[in-house]
Amino acid sequence: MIRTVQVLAPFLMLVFLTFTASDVNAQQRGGYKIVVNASNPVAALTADQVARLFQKKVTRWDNGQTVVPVDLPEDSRVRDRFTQDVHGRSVGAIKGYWQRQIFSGRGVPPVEKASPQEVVTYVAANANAIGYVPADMSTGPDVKAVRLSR
Amino acid sequence: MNRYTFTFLVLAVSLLAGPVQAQQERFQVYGFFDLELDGTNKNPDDFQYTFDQHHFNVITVYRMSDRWRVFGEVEWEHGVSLNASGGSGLVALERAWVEYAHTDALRVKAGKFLPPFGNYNQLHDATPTFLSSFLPNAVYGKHSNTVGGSQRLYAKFGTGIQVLGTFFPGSWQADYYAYVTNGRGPRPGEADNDRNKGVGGRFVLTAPNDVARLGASYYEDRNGAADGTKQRAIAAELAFGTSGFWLEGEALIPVLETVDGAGVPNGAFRTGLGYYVQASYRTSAGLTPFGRFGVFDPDVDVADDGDNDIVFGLNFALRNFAYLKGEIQFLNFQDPTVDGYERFVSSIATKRLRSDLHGRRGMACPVGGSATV
Repeated sequence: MIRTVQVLAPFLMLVFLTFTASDVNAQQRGGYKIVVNASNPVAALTADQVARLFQKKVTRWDNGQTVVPVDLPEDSRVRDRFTQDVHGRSVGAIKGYWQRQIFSGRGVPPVEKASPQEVVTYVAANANAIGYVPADMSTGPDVKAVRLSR
Repeated sequence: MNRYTFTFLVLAVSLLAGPVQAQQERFQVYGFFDLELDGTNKNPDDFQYTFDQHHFNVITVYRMSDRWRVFGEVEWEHGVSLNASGGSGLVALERAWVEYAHTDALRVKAGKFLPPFGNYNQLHDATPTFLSSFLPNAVYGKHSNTVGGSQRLYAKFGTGIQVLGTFFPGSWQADYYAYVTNGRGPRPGEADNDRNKGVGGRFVLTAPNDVARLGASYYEDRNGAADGTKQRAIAAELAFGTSGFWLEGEALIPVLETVDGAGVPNGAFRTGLGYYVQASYRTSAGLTPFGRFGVFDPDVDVADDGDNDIVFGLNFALRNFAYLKGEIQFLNFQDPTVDGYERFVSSIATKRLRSDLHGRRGMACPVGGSATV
């Protein structure tokens, strides 16, 4: 019995750590981080909140300002990971969502920037913007990362 | 170029270039196109088919401020060619409205819009957004009315005011729409000039990650296209799916006022029933086979007056902006004196999903590039 516990302990510990660390490590695990303008008071968002912001189901920050989400190109691996992780769907499925939104008159998709650096520049210049960039990218003083939780 | 001119140009470019990064696009253009090959053996001795350049629609969205936007859609239908003596095809202003967004939960729209009814009326003719080349006939098709004409059981268009919004009960999403329009009189876009208006609404609940949706719609008006008879329609919708599989269905109960022998509305009503169920499976290769079964009964109190259709089709996403479709529709009639027949439709549908023209300071002047994605 003791031997069984000894064998299983590292595995159980690993499972425990995986689950408890999933919140804080979600972005790193997915290879991206959520970024907003440094003046934005938001410090943490849930994945549901981020999904609603990027699908423009929620269009205003708590201070009433219009949220300006910014995407990476469709073929970006970072976008693929972000979309799977936050929306729980494929990039293609999200494109389909935007087709229906556009043609039903509900809304138009977020601005797309060609590179993570352009996303950072855009977010730095726009107090209400929110984007995502590679987790290990340096973003400078005008942009800050937001903690993503489940 | 002297120093002052150079300085002026640098300042001008700086002033104009600055806001571009700091704001969203003001003016955007979208659209879609489709071409159909449509054949039927309705006349068994003479199989006929035709090409139909069905839709060429251009949609513009102009964002005037964070809360105000104007939406417009112009349609050129059936390879339109008009001249002073007539011609063929159709040009129409499908939609033109202004919207004020007070909050996400409260928006007001005014103008000509597609009344939110069922899953598809707001999507309208945008064939790239749905699998089939045509919408389910049982709910969205034209059916015989009480004066012998043919009409939809709801209004496809409406001019008036709409209130709509989105809110979130827990992890679900709720969307509501309520509207008042002119209804379907002889001139529904302008001089309706009566007290009988089109009134309707829709309520939709969507599950997290959009894996399921259920909703209900209502519409009523005094239908000017059918001798001023009154009409109500109630519809319910349900859809769910995951991992490429999708199942959806809608049911419609229309209640139409009948007329007497002289064609005058007599205050009596008949009740109909229409419904369809559609299943599809999207593969990773972009192929989506689908099947649909639909039934329409114009009067539930009369036997053998209904019809049904079975559709088998294949939708192939050539690219994320181009779709090839093929389907066969089997139409059957309860009336034994009416023969069933088949209809074959294939089509190519494309959309322009993004075109950003960066306007600034109220001017809709294109200063940026455009890209199709």
